[in-house]
Amino acid sequence: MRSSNESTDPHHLPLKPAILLILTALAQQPRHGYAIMVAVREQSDGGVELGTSHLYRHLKKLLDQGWVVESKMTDEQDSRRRHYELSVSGRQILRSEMQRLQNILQVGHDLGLLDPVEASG
Amino acid sequence: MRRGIGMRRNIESRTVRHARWLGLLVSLYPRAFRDRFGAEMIAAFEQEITSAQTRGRVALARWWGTTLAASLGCALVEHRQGIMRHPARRRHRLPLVAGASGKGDHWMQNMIADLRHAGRRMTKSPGFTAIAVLTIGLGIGVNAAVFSLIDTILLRPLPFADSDRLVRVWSAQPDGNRRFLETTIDELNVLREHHRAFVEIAAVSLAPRDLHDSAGTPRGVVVARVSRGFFDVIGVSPSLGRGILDEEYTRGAPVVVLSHNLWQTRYGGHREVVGETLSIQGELHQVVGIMPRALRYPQEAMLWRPFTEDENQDDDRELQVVARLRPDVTVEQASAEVASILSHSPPADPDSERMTGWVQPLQAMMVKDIRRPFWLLLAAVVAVLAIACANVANLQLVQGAARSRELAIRTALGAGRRRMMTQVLTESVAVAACGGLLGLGLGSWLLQLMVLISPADLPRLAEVRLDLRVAAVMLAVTMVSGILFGLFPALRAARFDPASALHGSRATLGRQGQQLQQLFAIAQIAMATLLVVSAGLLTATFVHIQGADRGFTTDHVLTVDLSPPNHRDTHEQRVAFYQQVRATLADLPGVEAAALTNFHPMQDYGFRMPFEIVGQPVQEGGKSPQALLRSTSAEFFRAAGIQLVAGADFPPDAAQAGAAQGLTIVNEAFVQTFLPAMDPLRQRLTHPAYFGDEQPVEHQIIGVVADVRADAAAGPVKPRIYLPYRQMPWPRMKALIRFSDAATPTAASIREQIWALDPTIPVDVTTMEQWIATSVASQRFNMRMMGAFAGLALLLAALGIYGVLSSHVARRTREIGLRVTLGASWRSIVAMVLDRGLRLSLAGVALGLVGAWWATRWLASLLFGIRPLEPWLLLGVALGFVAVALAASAFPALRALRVDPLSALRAD
Repeated sequence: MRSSNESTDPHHLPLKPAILLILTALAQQPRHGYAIMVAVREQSDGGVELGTSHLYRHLKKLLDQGWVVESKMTDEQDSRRRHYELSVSGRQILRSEMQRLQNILQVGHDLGLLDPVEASG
Repeated sequence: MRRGIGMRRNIESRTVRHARWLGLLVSLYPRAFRDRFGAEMIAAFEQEITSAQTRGRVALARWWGTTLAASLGCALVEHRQGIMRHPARRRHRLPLVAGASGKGDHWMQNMIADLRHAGRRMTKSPGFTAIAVLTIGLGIGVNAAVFSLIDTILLRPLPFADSDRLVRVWSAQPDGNRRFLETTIDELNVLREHHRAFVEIAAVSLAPRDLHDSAGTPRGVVVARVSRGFFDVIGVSPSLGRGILDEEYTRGAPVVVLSHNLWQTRYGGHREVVGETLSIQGELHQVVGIMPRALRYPQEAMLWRPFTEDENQDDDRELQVVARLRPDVTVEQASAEVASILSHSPPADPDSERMTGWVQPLQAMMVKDIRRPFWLLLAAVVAVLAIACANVANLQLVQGAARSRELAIRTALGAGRRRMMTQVLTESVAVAACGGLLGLGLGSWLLQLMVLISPADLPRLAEVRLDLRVAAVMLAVTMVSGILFGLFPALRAARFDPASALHGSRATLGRQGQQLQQLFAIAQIAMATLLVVSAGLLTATFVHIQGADRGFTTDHVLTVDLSPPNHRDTHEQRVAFYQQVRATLADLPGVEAAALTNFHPMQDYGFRMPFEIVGQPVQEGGKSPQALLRSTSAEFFRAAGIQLVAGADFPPDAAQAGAAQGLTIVNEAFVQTFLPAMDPLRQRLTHPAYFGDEQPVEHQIIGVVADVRADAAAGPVKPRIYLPYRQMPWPRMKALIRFSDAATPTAASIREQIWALDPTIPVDVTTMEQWIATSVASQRFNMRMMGAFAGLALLLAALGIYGVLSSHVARRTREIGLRVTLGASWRSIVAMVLDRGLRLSLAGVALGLVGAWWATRWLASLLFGIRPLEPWLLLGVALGFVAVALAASAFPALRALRVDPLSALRAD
């Protein structure tokens, strides 16, 4: 059922910062809700503070769109927790967004706005 | 490490507390969303809380703030998305504009539109919103705090299993004179043998004892000595370790169960305490268990231990008997049974009189004295809330007048009356909701404050908190008050005539609106008057009780509570020890007199000694009269500042040593009761043998002293007999020290002196002022609370008058301009405004005084030293109110003066 909603249309781009960070966090490894929040905070150097309420709104959207799916992993510490991972289409959309960002970074690099090392990193 | 454990326990308990709020938070979301994510959201919230808690209280508060806001927002969006997919909406493609469509709207959709509108309006006039929210917040805050207190202490069942089955069993005199008598061991045994009404019946008796252990300096504790079955009656078992075993009851084994509080404060909550030994009054006891925190019965108890064998023989009337009713037995049935058992069984001691008895629900007993003051406080805060609502309603009326154009346009565009009404109501409910949230925060803070200043003997204080149940009630109250203060503006909106509003050039508040405003103002002043009168009465009561002539001096007196060292077993040894103490204390610099007494002057209870007056026939029935016995050293009356009315004081202790004849001093009440129309100084008393006296001793009355009133509000003074300490040695004495201005002996120096005699004695130094402060604590609490609420009411009412008058002035700007142009003097303008303020306040005060006349009868039982309708108080309050009203009118009056006639006329 979810696959019918699945979309990787380029018009989803650019992604909202919070969505981008959530997808990136899940690209690294399957995570449960709180772990996603921690990862988002770390990735953004504390720049994006994502609370539980907002996180689950985003997750609902991502699940409905089919970019994120529930992982089969179970949590030993707390049975209430569910783990999420990136679907194929989610990975694809993240890749397109990263590509887009890289293009922009390339422009910045060409304009001499960026340190070469940072740009490639 | 100790700290670490404490902290973790703390955080865990807090997380549990938070869990209920989190459930509430998640329940804001639509069902579908909740079912899908609810559980894991709560898990995530909990982790967030745990992480916030490690960063401190401020971080936690901030977390709650942002999370609450975010959840409200997200939940609303989710609800809305649900509606957007609602079939009705898909079909009709209805616009989401408030009031633009008639029937057939989804109610939720309307509500969201209304809420958004309300939100816009609230942010557009932040001043109005802030005042309204703050006003309602204050009203809800005081209600939340007081209601929490009442809920915990009066309404909630006691924290024992099936607590409605718990009763207190009292003995009583058959003639009904004394109904609240403790029970003797014989009576308990008889009841045990014959009762059918109870599942279990047991006794407890409290005693002050000294605690020695390795945990710190010796301290006094209150030990609850309990009989077999006590914990079964209460229905509580230790949370750690075990209870007292049957076999231990039988032999009176030296085992103790600690209260949670003592365990935490003295032993740092260490589990290893169980199994250790500690010394109570020199006897080693083994700790076998720790009670759960909820067990606070008897309230003062710090340790529970079985009755010793000696105590099981003791026939003192000092047992508090508690019992658990059988499920099918009522309190009345149990009462009848107890009465019948006690009155039919012959007393063990043929001399003592036959008793009867009765049964009282335990909870009713615990809250007996505080019920009325608490309901009074609740009435006061409800009045404060009503005043707050009236204020906001007034504000809204003014606002409503200012927005009549907006309403007119919307009506003209086809918004129905009902939609307009609901919209205006939604606005007020939204304001109320914000106020309610603020109020809950404010309330929990106020509650902490109230607990802090409340009398320490208030039952169940440890249980008090603002919980979900109170929050739910407050939510309902908030909604009701939102509807109440929004109702009149809403009705006005519904009856609104768009044409006149569109034609009219300025914000108008119709005649009806003005009348309504004034009615509100009058009602506010009336309620505030009532509160201020009540507060005044309670304050006067407090002042009277505090300052009442007690018959002894209350300043420059210290009391020293100290128990005799354990190794001084004989009376002689104890007497010698106490004499030493007295001599040491008398030598301290600044001490004018030092004395010993078995009871403090503030203690109006104690042993009643039967006596006979020599040469007077004993009354028929052979019953000797009784009087409170006081055993004192020489100088006692001087140290306590008790006046000698006739005769002489006791001679110095040393001179009494070999005296053949006993001496006594009695109080005036004694003379009035037992020696009317006789010269007391020619009478002698005898008393039955006590403390191993072989022969009854005769005591010559050598003096009469003034009556001592511990509690000025209590009934008539009890007759007292003072006997010299030497002749009537008492096992436990207190020292009383009177000192001069020159030097005040410190508690440390006193302790040092006594510890020089024996370092193992707990010494408790208290000033007489502290004793009195404790004794008037409940009156002080009533006065403070009532005073605070009355002050708040006064402030709100003053704001109310101010609001009405300033809108009055604003409305008449044009008229004032005209008058000034036509040559009216500034005096007449000011008089015009003040006149209105004066009339409003006089009407309100008059109404309030009528209310006070009716309501203060109810207050009468809490009053002392003042009549419920004290004229000077009523007059003072009335004058004060008029002054406040005039002050509140002054600003609008000044504004009226500053009206520039030209611009006022030119406007429009």
